[in-house]
Amino acid sequence: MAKGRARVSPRQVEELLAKKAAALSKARALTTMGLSETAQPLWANAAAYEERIAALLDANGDDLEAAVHRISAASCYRKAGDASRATNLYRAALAGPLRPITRKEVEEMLTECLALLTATPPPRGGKAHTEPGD
Amino acid sequence: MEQVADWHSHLFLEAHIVAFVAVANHYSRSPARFDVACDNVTSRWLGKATDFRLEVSWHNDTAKKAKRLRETMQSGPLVELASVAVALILASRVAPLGRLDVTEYGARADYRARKRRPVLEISGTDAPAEFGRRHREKVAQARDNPFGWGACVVVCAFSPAGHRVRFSKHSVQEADHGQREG
Repeated sequence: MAKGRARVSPRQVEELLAKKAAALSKARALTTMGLSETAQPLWANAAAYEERIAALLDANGDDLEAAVHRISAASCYRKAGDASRATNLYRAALAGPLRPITRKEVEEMLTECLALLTATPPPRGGKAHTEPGD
Repeated sequence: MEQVADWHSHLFLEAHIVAFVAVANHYSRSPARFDVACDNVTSRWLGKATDFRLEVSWHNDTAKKAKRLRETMQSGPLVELASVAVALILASRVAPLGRLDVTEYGARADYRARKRRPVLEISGTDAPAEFGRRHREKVAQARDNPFGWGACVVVCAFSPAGHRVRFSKHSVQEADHGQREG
């Protein structure tokens, strides 16, 4: 019997995309306005949505789009100050079917993120995970 | 201008709208006029035209918010936000791209229309001499988009001599050709 993938409804993906777009566009606007601290939880929120979207797209077999959302999740986590998660997600994105130019750029993003990670002392306490607020 | 938020209701655009007014109001009262040049853009609204005049008006209460914003923000980020607002007018009224998604790619934001499948690259400047170079840079960036999709590029130049917009569309084939030649 052929192995099938469980299809995710496009509506489910669209709903998450809309919530992510709202959080990400607000985070970006606040950061551009110089309100980086206010934007930080929004970056984390957008990143968490991007991770969920990537997983749903994987389930649908949209491997390239899933990889691009992982790059986005990583970039958002980095802006949220979570270089560790960003590193893992850049690595996960590199496992996807990226264009050669994209692969090169993501490898550069990963290198920058690793440099940031090694330059930053580990946090004293445990860090709370941010999940999308829905 | 305020209507842009309704046309793209899933995006947070309040800051972009106020930033647009902060920039445009610096040069003239409402409405601001833009000479828009289109390359390879086809739409029912545009017909066979390749250029047109865009007039953008705004409300007094937005102008008050804009005045406050201008006191707290530097010109570069203001122009950046304002250009997104202009691009989203074009992507909605002139060549409708449908619902736009936004993803973060390293340090930049990538807008894209999932259904129609172009990416949308946006930039702006208040130095008219930068206009052509900025457009070439954005086209290069757009052709390297992670999806390998076609791209729309919108670059705005705000200037006392008259605001300009260049709106161009680039196919994947053209992009690949350009990449080989580049």
